[in-house]
Amino acid sequence: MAHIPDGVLSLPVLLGGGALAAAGVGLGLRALDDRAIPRVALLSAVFFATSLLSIPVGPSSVHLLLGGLMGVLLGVGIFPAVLVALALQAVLFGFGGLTTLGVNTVNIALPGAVVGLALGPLIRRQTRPGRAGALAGAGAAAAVFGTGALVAGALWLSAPEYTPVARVLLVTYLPLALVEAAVTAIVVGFLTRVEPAALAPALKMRET
Amino acid sequence: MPPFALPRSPALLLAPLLILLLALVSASPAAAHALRVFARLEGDQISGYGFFIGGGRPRDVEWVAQMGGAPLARGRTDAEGAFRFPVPEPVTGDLKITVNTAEGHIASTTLAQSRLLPAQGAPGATTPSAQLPGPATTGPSTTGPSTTGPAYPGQIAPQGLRPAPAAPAPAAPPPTAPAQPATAQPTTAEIERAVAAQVAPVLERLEQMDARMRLTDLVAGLSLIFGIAGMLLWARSRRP
Repeated sequence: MAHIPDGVLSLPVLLGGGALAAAGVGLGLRALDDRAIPRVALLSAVFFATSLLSIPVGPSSVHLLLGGLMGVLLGVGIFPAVLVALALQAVLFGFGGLTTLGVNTVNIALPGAVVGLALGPLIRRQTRPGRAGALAGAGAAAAVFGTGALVAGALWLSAPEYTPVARVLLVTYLPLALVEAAVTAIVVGFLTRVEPAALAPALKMRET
Repeated sequence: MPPFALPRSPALLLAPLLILLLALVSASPAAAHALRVFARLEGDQISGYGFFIGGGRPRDVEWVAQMGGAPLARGRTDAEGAFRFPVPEPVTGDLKITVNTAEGHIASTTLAQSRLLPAQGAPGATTPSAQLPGPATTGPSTTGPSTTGPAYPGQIAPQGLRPAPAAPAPAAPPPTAPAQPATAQPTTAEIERAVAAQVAPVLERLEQMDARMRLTDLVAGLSLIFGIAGMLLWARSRRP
């Protein structure tokens, strides 16, 4: 769902998505340091691999997006992580497309980045793993619906006849959001327990 | 200067994610996520189905067929994601079939005009021909496809999916099928349909192999990501 193929979106949407993605990637690259690079690469690899594993749900087929998890762990570093993984998926597997790379990057990375910036400080302040995990899970579910809304918006702007139907979207995105929340909660809870510092996208965070 | 200021943290971050990654990769390296459409000519019908790479069919979603840009047929897929409609009478252009799941997955496939022409009936002419079906796309067919009763064994499975023809005798060459009534030579149209029926599973398989993800590609992608990270780190370490 999040991989919009070539030839569906209109040029203004493609250009707008590309510009937004470029801005996000620029921000992300500026934040890269020696500690962030392996983290971005690792989560990019996880995202690259998990997007390939899909489960049939309702009329469609879904896969994990991990936007919330990446947002909490990487901050704006989520943009380069998603861009690289999506580019490789497009080239190697034909998922999505090269022209839609910008739009797809924004659709997945922007909700994650927003969740990371909004909930990240709160999550890192938690000392109980369960609570941190629950917060992160809620953020991950929100990021899934954010992605769904952005995908629907991009399609609605370009080709109204392809606009997703709200009911179908809900049927497919709701189970995904629940699974995504569970996975994110487990990972964040684990990190809170064993290495809280790993949750910070950068060491010199203003809020920590 | 040492590349890692925090030696413990990256390793600990790595552990659960790598486990997750390995579990996912080992679980199903061939699963994937993209919608594709497969369509084929089957007698005087065009049948096919949408499928998600790695599993799943788009059930009960809308499909639209267009010929040369003009709408031709539409409907909803069945429980197996399949569709079926008759070949249009005048073939005026390439046939494009689009499946739209209404939640962001859209895929289409195109049957070239040349592939559709043999199915089109040229009324009147009934010249039995015994030639081999090599130039199948050039010769106009002789009889209307709907008029011929005897079909080759398993030629048109009732449901287009998982067609039966390959099952009974996968090795038997179809053009010399013994089930043909001994009175007449097979007409070109019959031969063409028989060949189409026999070739269909091969085309189907080709389509799926084309769309299949390969473990080598997956490994290549992961290696590229880490390679990029390594180059970035190296470039940064050269800076004073």
